[in-house]
Parts: sequence; structure tokens; C-alpha cells
Amino acid sequence: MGAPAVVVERLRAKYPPSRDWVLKDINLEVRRGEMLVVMGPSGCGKSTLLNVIAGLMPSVIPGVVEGRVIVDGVDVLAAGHRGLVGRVAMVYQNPEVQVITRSVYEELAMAPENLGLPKDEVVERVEWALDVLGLRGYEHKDPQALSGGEKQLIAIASVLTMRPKILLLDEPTSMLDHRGTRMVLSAINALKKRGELTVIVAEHRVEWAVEVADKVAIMSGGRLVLEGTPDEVFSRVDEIRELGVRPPGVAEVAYELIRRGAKVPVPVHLKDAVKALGGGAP
Amino acid sequence: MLAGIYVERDSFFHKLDPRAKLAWALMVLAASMATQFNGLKSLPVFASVVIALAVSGMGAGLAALIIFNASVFLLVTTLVWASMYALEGTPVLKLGWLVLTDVGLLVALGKFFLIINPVLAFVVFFASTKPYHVSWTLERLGVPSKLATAFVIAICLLPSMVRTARDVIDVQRARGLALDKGSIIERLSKYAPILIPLMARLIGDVWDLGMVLASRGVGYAKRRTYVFEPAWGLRDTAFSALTLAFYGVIAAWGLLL
Repeated sequence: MGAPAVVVERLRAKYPPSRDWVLKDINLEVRRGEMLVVMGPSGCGKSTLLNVIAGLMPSVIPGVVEGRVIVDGVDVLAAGHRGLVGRVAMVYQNPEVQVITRSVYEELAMAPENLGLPKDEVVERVEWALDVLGLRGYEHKDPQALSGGEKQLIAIASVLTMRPKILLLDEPTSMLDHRGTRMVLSAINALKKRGELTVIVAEHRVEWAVEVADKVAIMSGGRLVLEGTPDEVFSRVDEIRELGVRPPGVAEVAYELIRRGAKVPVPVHLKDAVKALGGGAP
Repeated sequence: MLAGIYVERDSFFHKLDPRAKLAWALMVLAASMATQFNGLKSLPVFASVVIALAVSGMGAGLAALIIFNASVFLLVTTLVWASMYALEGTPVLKLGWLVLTDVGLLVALGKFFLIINPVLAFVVFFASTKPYHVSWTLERLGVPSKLATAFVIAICLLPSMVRTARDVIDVQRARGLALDKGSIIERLSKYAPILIPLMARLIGDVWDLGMVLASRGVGYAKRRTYVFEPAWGLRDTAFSALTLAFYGVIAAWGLLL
């Protein structure tokens, strides 16, 4: 991983007139090409953290933000949302409100068109996004007629055409079924393998943390309470359960075995569990 | 989300340049204004917009539906304008204090067409023009990019709001809300459990949409790029010349004769 893409120092945020800080003394560093999954119970401040990193709060969403946030070398609190356009892109949880136009091609072209880029470059970026997310054949389809998973893929492709360096995903699969979740996960995996993008995801689903994350951060009550690789974080089964996060199934099974006296490690990935239990390749 | 009232068809109107369609809709408005004091003179304008609805692939059925829905308005205009002109022309019908004269009826019909003709013309325009091209047209006319986008969003959100209202009504009915029972006051008071969740949902949807538009860079550049730009062709020139001649003659007929 490269130099820091996102640096958050002593970050505090609140929504007036409330006096309570929604984010309390957050310190975080995400390196270029790295993927961080932020987990935690509802209301712990995940979305607020993403909104601050995206420059939306306080410049678009009213709020009080203190501390220091540097994104791709830009001081977010000084530059605001406009200063980050093209550098940071955000995708939201509800796919229904994120498809705006009547064709997939128009949808993908919208963001670079709004940036006022030359026509050739808009077309080149749309073609690139169609290839990267495997959306060839969808160009002329009406996004309204697609499934939730497909809509969410199009929402991701629509912001990728801005060629952002940092992609923020706010619970992108919370409104999707299993198939839709798999579609989005494999697309993010494909993007991650290209290594060009820094991705921060706020998610409840543990699959994200296990399958695609380089780092996992757990939030509780506005604080960042645990941070590390998925193995480091999820091996602390009791602790994360107390924080309202469900550990991966294999970690739970291993933990139960340990509680009953078995001497096994706490795996996070299924393949590690199979290995630990002496199983070979299928 | 922003589909608006646009209907995908392969009609003559869909193939026209949006500027030619907008000019046509404005000519309908101008001709209806010029003939507003004589419903008979407005009649060809009305016939032309009904034909346009049929040619645009929306079908004359939509026109019939709109006219049917506007029939209350027609009744009101007849009563108001005909009674205002009760002393002019020859009485045609006497209903107690209300005297309907031929002049009064012509004015009432003209005023009705003054509203219904432009409404139908703009229905044709918006139903046959993608919101993307409405925005393009406005920008070509010199409207700032941000304002053009805001206008298109406002227009397109209307059908979305109607759908949301329908959803909320269905949900509340499923919970036992009977809107068709009780006195008028009782029925009106029953709309509170519809209006409150409807407003909450609309505010939520608009907020989410605002966030999405901000994340897509809406309003960032002074001028938006358009990949798909309509090209003005011979068909557009011929259509504009024909409509200008047709509505020009009607407007002159309405103003001068």
C-alpha cells in the first residue's frame, strides 16, 4: 500500500441543535489502494464519518465539524465539497434514488457531463466504466427496470466515471438481496484488484469485512474502538459481539469450540477454518 | 427517479428537435391567447393539439382523459365568463338569474381552450422529450445549467410524488383507513395520516436525491457537456415553417377579424 489517501485526526462532529457529538475524537489513516470497512451498530456514526470525508458535512449537510481531515492531500474542512469533486465519490444505500435518468449510458455520462469535460473524454470514461464493472450490454437499458443489485452497480459505475481516487460506499448492500449483494461484492473485488482506488465502506454485513477488506474499523457510540486487519479484529469475538457486531460464522464456531476446551485458532475465512480442521482442498 | 412524464415511443414528435417542439408549444400558447375571446377560432388550435397527442404516440385517449378531468373547469369557465357577458349578444339559454348568450358561450369556450390547449401542447412536449434533452434545450436558450437542472428535476418529480402519494394511501388503507366513509369533515380529517407520512417521505426522498446530485457534480461546471445533442434537420425546419404559418393565420384571425 502507498502513501496515506485519507488522514483523519481528532475528528469531532455534531448536528446542531444537538449538543451531543456524533463523532468523538476519531483518528484514522487509510493508505492508497487500501480498502477499509467501517462496522458498528446503527447510529454509531459510520455515515457521518463518510459524509465528513466526502466533504458533504458541513458544506452541504449542516453540522459542526472539528479536527483535521486530509483527503488526497486536500484539507476537506477548508475546501468543502466542491474542492473534492472528482477526487472523492460516494454511493448511498438506496439504489432506487440513485438511478436518475432513462438509460444506463446517460446515467454513467451524467457525472462527467456535469464536470463540463469534453465530449470525447465523457464517452471514453463511460466506456471504461462499462468495461470495469462488466456492464456491457446494459448501455441502452432503462435503469428503472433493473434489479436492485444491478441498479447499485450502475450507481457505483456512475460515480466511477468521475475517476475518483477515493470511493465511499454507505451501506451499499443493506437494501439488496443475496444475489444483489454478491454482484456488488464481486464488482468491488474487481475494482480492488486493479489497485487504483482507495475504498471506504460503511457496512453491517460481515461478508464485506471478510471477503474484500484490508482493514476493519469498529465504531461504537461515535468512537473508533477497534482497528486492524480482519484477522486481528474478528479474532476478538467476545469484544466485537459486545460492540454489537456479528463476527463471521467460522469465527463464532471456532470460538465456541475454544470455550468447550478445544485447541483451535480463531479463523475469519472459511478456507482457514477448513485448513485448521485438517481439511484439504475440495 | 427522474423519469418524469416522458414516454418512450418512436413517433414523429419523438424524432423532432426539442427546440422545434418547444417553439410549437409556445405557438399553441400564443394562438390560444390570440383567440381567447372566440372559442370557435380556438377550435382549430384545439384540434391540432389533439392530433399532436395522437401523432406523438400518446393517443387521443390521453387527450380525452385530460379533457374529461378538465370538464369541471369547463363548467366553471362557462358559468363565470358567460355570466360576465350576459348583456352582450343574443340570449341562448336562461336558467333563473343566469343568462347564457352566444357571445358569452364563445368567450367561455375561448377561455377554456386558453388553458387546455397549452396544457395539452406541453404534455406532448414533455412526454416526447427526454428530461435530458429538456435540460439541453433550456441551456441552449441561455438558462444557466444549475437552473435548467433544477427545473427538469421539479417537473420530473411530479409523477414520482403522485406515485409516492398512491403508495402511502395504499399502506394506510391496508391498515384500515376508510377514506370513503363519514361526513365531509370526517373524510378530510382522515387525510392527516396520509399527509404526514407523505411529507416525511417526500422530504426524505428529496434530501437523498440532493445528496446523489451533489455527488454527481451537478452545478459544478458553468456549462454542462451533453454527449447526446439533437441535430436540427430538414424535418424540423419544415415542421416549424408549417406550424408558424398555421398558428400565425389563426392568431391573426383571432386578433384582427
